[in-house]
Amino acid sequence: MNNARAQLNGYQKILNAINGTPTETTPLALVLSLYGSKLTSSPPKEYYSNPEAYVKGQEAIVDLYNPDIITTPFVLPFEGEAFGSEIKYVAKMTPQLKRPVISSYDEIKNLKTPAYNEGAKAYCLECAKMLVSRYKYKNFILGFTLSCIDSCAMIMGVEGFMDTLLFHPKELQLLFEKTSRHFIEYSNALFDIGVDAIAIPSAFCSPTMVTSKIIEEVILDPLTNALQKIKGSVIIHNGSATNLKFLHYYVNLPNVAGFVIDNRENMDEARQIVGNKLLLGNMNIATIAEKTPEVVQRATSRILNRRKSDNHFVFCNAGPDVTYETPHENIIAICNTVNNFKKKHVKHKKICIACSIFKKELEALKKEGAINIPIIYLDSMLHMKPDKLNALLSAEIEKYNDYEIILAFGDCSTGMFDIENKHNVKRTKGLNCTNILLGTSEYRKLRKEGAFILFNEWVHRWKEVFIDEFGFKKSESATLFMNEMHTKFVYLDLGDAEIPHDTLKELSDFCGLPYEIKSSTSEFLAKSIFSLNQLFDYGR
Amino acid sequence: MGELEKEQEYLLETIINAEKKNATDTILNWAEKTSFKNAFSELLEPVLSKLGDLWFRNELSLAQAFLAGKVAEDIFNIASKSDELSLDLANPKGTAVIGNIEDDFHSFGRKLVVIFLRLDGWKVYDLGNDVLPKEFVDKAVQTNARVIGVSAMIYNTAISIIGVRKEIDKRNLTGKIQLCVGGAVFNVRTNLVQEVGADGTADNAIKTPELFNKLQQKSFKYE
Ligand code: B12
Repeated sequence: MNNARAQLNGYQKILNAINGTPTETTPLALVLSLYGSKLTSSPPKEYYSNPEAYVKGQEAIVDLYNPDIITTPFVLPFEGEAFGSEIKYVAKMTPQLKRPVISSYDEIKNLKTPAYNEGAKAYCLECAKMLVSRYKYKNFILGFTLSCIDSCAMIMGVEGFMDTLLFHPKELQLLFEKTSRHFIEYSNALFDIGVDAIAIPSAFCSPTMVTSKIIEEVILDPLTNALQKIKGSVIIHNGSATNLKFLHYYVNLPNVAGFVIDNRENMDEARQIVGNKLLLGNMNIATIAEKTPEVVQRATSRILNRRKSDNHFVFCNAGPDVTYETPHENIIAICNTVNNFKKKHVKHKKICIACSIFKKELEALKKEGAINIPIIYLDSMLHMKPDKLNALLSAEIEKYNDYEIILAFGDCSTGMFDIENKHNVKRTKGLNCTNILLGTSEYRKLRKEGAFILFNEWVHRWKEVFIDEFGFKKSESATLFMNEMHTKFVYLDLGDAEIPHDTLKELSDFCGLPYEIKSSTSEFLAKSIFSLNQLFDYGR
Repeated sequence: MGELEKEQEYLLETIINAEKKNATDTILNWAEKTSFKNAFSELLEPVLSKLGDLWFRNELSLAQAFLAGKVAEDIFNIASKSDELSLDLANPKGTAVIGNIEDDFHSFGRKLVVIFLRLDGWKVYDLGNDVLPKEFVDKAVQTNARVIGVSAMIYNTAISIIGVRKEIDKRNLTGKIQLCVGGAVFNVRTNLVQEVGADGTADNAIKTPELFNKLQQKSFKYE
C-alpha cells in the first residue's frame, strides 16, 4: 500500500468522508462478503454458518485488498430465515430463499416476530463481534440488514408482499409492525457490538419496484418510525435498483448518513439531491466480473475522475456482492487504481458575480450552505444601461482574472457573449433573471400568457423603472404602452420578503394592468449555480 | 379521439394509478359491448404493449406491472369460462413449458410470464421452481411443446441452463424445440443468453408472447 494510505487507516478515511474532510486518495469500499469464501476455499454452507470461517474469509480480504470498509455477511434471505422462511445453500453463492414462511396477506396475523439473536442472526451477530474485536478503529465496520420494508419480500416472497402492498393496507400495517420490531432490535444489537454503521439494501423503496404514491402513502411512515429508533448511522443501499428519482424522500430521514448509488445513474445528480451526505458507488459489478483488468481500471478511473473534488465520496460497487467468479486481478486493478489516484486539492478560487436582483435569494442560499463562494453584486438597475453594465462587468472580470467566475446574470449586457466565452467564466442558463429563476418551461408559459414578471426589488423601485427609466410620466401613457404587449403583472413571491400589496396595487393602477401573485422558489437558481460549480470542478 | 382510443388511454391511466377495479371494469365493459376477443386485441393488447415499452425504459415500477398482471389474470379467468373463449382454449396458439431452473426459487418473474402467455392464447405447462434440465425436455416432448422457457434470477443458477441446452441437443431436438431464457440476471448480464446457449430472451413478461410466437415460427422450419 502506498504512503498516502499508510497515513490514515480505513476507519479514519471513512470518518473523513462522513465529515467532508479531504483525504489524499478516495476511500474504498467493495462488498466482498462472499468473496472471502472463495479466497479461503470455504464452501458457502460452512462459510455462512460458522463465524470463524466467515471471519477467516474477511481476514483474507483485508490481507489482500485492505478495503476501508469491511462488512458483516451480506445474506438477505437470512432476514426471511429469522421469521421461519426456508433457505438453501448453493455452491459459489450466497444462500437463496427457498420457501417464504408465508405467502399471503391472511397469514400475517399468525406471523411471529422472532428473537433478534437466534438462528442465522446469531451467526451474523457473532461475525460482527469477531470483526469488531479484530478491526475496530482500523477498518470501518458496516453491518448489513434489510429494513422493515424489504425484509417483507424475504418473509412472503416478492409476489405475496407486492399483493399485500397494493391491496391489503390493514394487514400491511401489521406486517410492518412485526418487521419493524425485528429490524430495530437486530440493528441496535449490531450497534451495541460496535459496528460503525448499517447498510439497508432498499429495492422496495425504489422506482424499480414501487410508485411514488406507494412510497408516500404506505412506506415513508413506517420506515421513518423505525429509523428513528436506530442507535447509529444508516446507509441506504440501492439494492441493485435505480433509486435516484426517490432519493429526496430519504435524505432527511432520521439517522440516514449516506446512499449507495446504482451504476446506471448519474452521481452528480445524486450529489445535488443528497447535499453533503455520504455517497457511495457506482461501479458496475458485471464490469468487475466480466471484463479485463485494463477495462476495470479505466472504468474505475472514470468514476474517480468525476468525483475527484467530492470529499463525501466513497468508491464502491453498486448492487450486491462482487460475484464469486470475479477474477482476483480485477479486484486488484480497482484497489491499485483507487490507491494511486490523487484527489484534486488545488482548487482555483471561485467567485460569483451576480445581479442584485438575486441578492435575497443568493444570500439565503449562502446561509443554508447551498452556495459557499463569495458573491459580489452589481446594481440591477444597470439592466437599463447595457453599455454601462458591460463596462462594469468587464472590469470586475478583469479584476478576478485568476479566479473561476460564476455569473448570475441574464443575457443583459451588450458584451455578454464575449464575456461568457472567457475560459474562466460561466453564466447561469437563461435569457434573463425571470427565466433563470423560473426555469425555461414555466418562464415560457408565463410569457405566453402575456405576463410582465416582477421581483420584490423591482416593485419597490417601480418608480425608478417606469417613471425615470421608461419615461412614463403619466398613468395614461404607461397604460397604453403596457397593454400593448402585456395582459397582467405576475409578482414572484419567493417567500423571502413580505408581499408588497400596497405598492403592487399602486403600480397596477398606474399601468392599468391587473396583478397576480405567484409563489416560486430559488431552486432553479441554486441548481444552476451548483452545476456551474461542478462544470469548473469536473470540466463537463 | 375515437371511443376506443379514449378507452385505451383510460385503461392505461387506471393501471398506472394502480386502480385495479376500474381497470378490470373498463375491459369487461368493452367486452360486453363487443366481445372478449375484441377486448383483448383492441383494448388490452395495445395498452400492454405501451406498458411493456415503459417497463423496458425503466419508467414502470414492478408494482404497476404486477397490477397489470393481476388485471390480465382476472380477465383471463372470467373470459375462459365464457362460451366465446372456451373453444379457443381447446385450440391454443402453441404449447410451452416453463419453469425456474434447478436451485432457483424466484417464482414471481416466471408467474408473470405465464399470465401474459396464457392471455395471448398459449397453453402453458408451468413446472414451478427448482426444475431439472431433463424434466423440462421430458415435459416438452410429452406435450409436443415447441418452446421451453427457463427463468433464473441469479448467475450461478442461470448458468445451469446450459444443461437444458445439452439435453435438447442430445435428443436431436435442436431447433425443433426452441429454448428461451429470462430473469433479472439476464437483464444485467447481456452475454449470458449466448453463454447458456439460448435461442432468445425478453426482458419483461409483457414482451414474452411476441418472443414465443417468433420462436415457434422458427421451430416449424425444423419439421
Ligand atoms: C428486488 C431485488 C431483490 C429483493 C427481492 C428479490 C427476490 N425476487 O426475491 C431483495 C432486496 C430482497 C433481493 C435479495 C437478493 N438479491 Co436481488 N435483486 C432485486 C432486483 C432489483 C430486482 C429483481 C426482481 O425481483 N425483479 C422483479 C421480477 C418480477 O423480475 P424478473 O425476475 O427480472 O422477471 C422478469 C423478467 O426478467 C422476465 N422473465 C423472468 N423469467 C423469465 C423467463 C423467460 C423465459 C423470459 C422470456 C422472461 C422472463 O419477465 C419477468 C417479469 O417482467 C435485481 C436487479 C434488477 N435490476 O433486476 C436484483 C438481483 C436479482 N439480486 C441479486 C442478488 C445477488 C441478490 C441476493 C443473493 C443478495 C444477497 N447477497 O443476499 C439476494 C437473494 C434473495 C433471494 N431471493 O434468495 C442479483 C443477482 C445477480 C447475480 N450476480 O447472480 C441481481 C441481478 C442484482 C445484481 N445487479 O447483481 N433482491
